[in-house]
Amino acid sequence: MTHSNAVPGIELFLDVPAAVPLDEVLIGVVRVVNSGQGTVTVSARVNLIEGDLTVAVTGPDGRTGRAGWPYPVDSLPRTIELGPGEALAGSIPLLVDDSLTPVFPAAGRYSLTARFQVAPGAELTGAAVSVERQAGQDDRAALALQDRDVLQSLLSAAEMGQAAGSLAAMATDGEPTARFLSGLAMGSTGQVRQAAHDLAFGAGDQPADPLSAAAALNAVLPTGLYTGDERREAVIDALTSVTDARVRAVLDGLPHAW
Amino acid sequence: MCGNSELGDRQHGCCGDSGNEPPLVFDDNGELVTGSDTLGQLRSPLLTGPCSLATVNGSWLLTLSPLRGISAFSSEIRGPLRIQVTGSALRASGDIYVRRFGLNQQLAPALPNDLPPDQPTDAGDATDGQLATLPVNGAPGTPTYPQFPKNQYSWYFRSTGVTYGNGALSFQLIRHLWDRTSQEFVSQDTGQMQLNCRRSLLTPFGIASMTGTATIGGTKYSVTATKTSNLYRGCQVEVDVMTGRVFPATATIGSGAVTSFRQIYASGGWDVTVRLDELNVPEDASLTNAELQTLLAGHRGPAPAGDPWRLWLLVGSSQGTLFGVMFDEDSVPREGAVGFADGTLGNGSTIDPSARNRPLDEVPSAFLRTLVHEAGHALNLFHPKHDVHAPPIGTEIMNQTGDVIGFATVANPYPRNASFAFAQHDLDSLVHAPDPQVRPGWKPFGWGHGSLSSGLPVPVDASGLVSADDAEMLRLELSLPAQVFVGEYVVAETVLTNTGDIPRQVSTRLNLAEGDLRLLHVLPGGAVEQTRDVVVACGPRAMTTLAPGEQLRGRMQVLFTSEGVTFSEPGMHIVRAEFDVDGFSSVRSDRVTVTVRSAASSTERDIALATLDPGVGLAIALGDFGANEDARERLTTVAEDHPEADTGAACALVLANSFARGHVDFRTADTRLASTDDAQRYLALAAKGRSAEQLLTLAATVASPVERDAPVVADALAQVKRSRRGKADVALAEVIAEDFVESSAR
Repeated sequence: MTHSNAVPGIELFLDVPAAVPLDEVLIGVVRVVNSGQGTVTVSARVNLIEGDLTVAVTGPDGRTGRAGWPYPVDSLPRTIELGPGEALAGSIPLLVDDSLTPVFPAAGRYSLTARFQVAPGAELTGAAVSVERQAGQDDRAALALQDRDVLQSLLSAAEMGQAAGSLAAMATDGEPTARFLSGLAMGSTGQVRQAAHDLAFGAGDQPADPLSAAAALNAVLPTGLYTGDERREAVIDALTSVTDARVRAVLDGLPHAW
Repeated sequence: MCGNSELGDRQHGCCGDSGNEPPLVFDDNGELVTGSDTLGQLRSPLLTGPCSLATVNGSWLLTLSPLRGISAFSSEIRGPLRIQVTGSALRASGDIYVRRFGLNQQLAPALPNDLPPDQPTDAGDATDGQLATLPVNGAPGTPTYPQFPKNQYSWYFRSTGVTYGNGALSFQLIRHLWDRTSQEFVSQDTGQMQLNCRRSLLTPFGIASMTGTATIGGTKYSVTATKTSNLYRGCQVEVDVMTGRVFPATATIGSGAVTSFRQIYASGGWDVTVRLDELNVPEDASLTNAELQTLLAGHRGPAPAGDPWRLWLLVGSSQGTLFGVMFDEDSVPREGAVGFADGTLGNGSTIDPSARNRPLDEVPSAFLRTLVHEAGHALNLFHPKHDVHAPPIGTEIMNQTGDVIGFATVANPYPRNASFAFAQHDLDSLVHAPDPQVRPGWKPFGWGHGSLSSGLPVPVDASGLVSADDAEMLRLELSLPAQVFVGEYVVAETVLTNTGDIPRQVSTRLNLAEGDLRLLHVLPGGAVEQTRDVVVACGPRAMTTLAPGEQLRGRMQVLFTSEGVTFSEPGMHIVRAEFDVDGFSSVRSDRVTVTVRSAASSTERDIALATLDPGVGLAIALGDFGANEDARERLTTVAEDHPEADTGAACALVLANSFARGHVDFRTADTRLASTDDAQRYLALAAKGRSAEQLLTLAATVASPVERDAPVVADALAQVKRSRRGKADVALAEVIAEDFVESSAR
């Protein structure tokens, strides 16, 4: 972990799975951790939407990109106080840059470095982490995850353009996170709740993974920005019985020990 | 900007320049390097005098004419020229649009889109007043802005050092050439332009014009320029308001001044006419991006005549706690933005007490700032903190509200601390960036904040990179499957329609084999290919008359073309067709996206294994395997194992066509005899399970367009006539067969 021009004692971590196939959506979990001795006020905008957080992506061919959010927004600052040892967690969809260009165009090992404007004029830089993007088993889903309409739909949690067919296919047969986000984009509240339940508690041969469910939800409808959104509330409702503190940390956007 | 009182010439015609004074010289960045002591001095009383800098400043309609002999073609080479004069800087940029036509087909002149004064509105005095009503500094009282169709865009230029003295404007320029297929700048070269601007001292209120010469890419031109405005660019903004929300027509800002959407953009050099349209967009408490896109489609008014630049702005409810978003990222991007009236300012100590916890539309200056900010994104401006050029974060318009609040204090709280102006970096972009970057509905958000494309200059003339311009009153449509797998048989269909009200003489060669039609193919990696048949025949151009409303239709296989396997690379391919209508004008289709994937199922892999063989590809392109026995075997395997797939049927029809006639290999003297039985067997294989129309579509596309007598077409038609098929189906098949032999207008 490194930082530059940063608030003393504050560290930034990006957690991603070691390997994710190209027919699955990669979600990263970002933590802002107070390793110092005193309470520190930090930005609570730990999401891609508001633009304080970006992730530099270096591909296997050495090309670099910047994972971000394609819709430029205007919003208020939000801050939170982090006590010693506390962490603020957020999650981010690592799909596209701010021009909707996919940041993982091909299989291979990618290096990811998160940067976060933790306070005005103070930027944290996390340690580089790597993820292996593997060829997926479902070429159609992998292609769909390069399609602008599909990408916009997943990021907007709403069906956009001509994405309906691809979303329907992924919502039925997709990899777990792609399935959940596709359902979120096209689904009724009930469908969203079911998809979240499947992801969190397992369905069929899919293992239980409540943190992935919370992270996927928060990646596109982050706390603080979309608190109270009915789609978000449906998922949270489905995860009520989850006791994993990390899940609560991601969902409520409050400081937690991590 | 050069103010009227500061540098104007309404009384004496000129300032900032004198015939006896040294010229003003500006460097690459437009900064004044010599002669600044001449600013503000008055002229000698002459009948004509050089234009003032205030007259030079603004928007001009630039027209170039080649200084060379008359050719068979005429072109209109014109576009906006923007000359920006600030206190000590002068720079120029422009965008050139080219339209061609033949000597015997003089088209109606295409006038630039006038930007009308603010439209009458049903919202009382919510619309801004006009910025100019009287001629000032050589600009017409009603300003206009040269805006031309996107499909005529040819190049962009900007100055690299300007001198101005005694009415003579001279500058070196860099030109960036535009490729209409890839929609990118692909190369650059240099040139220079000299313009002379003099005005009558007796009638100083006329519209200013300039004449001169230019040398660009090695070609000389005569140049004329007519002033159109004292600002640089114009755009119409339609504002729709959700029920119960308020558009801030004006707002009092921190300085105590009253400003408006239009005035803020005027300070950035843009003449933005704001038209408050609907005030009762139905209530929806929370808006997703999909819903916003739907509102854009459903509430934006129809495009005005001439397709002027325009933007739709919604005063909406909310999306989470956001204040606004530029949500339009569809295939025609950056045409819509929204400000969320229900968003609330916080109660922090750096928020003005009167604004704390108030809905945004109850704080007019804050809401106006957000709306101007979101519209700025639609003009491709970035948040400074995300801009690749890394301009400083501050309090100007394109900073996020959150960042502006970061500069607020208890004594100078938000929104009083906000600057209602664009930062210099954004001003440069608004005034001088190429049209594709800033015009709503053109390049996607994010384009243009890196450097323009580089590369070796290409010596071309001012017409740009294309040899013909889009014909008017003709429409070309291209149909391709949305998704194919590598190795799949692909049929393209083109339809040429006369959309005008007079008959048109057009080429009948609506195929890839006779030179008039080509496909412009952008591969997933961005490379551009021109696609034609593997064999291109030469011969006289057959013409036909296309009456108003009539269509000409062409069908062709594009599995194997001059590119080899056309869709060999998985990913997103973009294809458009270009048809040379009559030798001097062309028509282009819209872009069609084809998603290419790898063969997935065992059937697809079997097919691809055969069809990706170059010999098989060539056989399919020619409609005959010739003497290639390996190709015949591979075709046979696919035809017999997978006749249900169109690729299998196409292979069967290649075999049917081949066996229906003999073949002599003159290199080896080997002869292939005709085999009627085999021909019929493969024809029957292809026909099974297919309609007459489907069978003839395949037959007419496997046969080479230059072999009008290819037996497979006639045999297939005979086969469907013999079989029990519906009359309508057979009639469609007959049309396809007739079109193969000779394209007819219908």
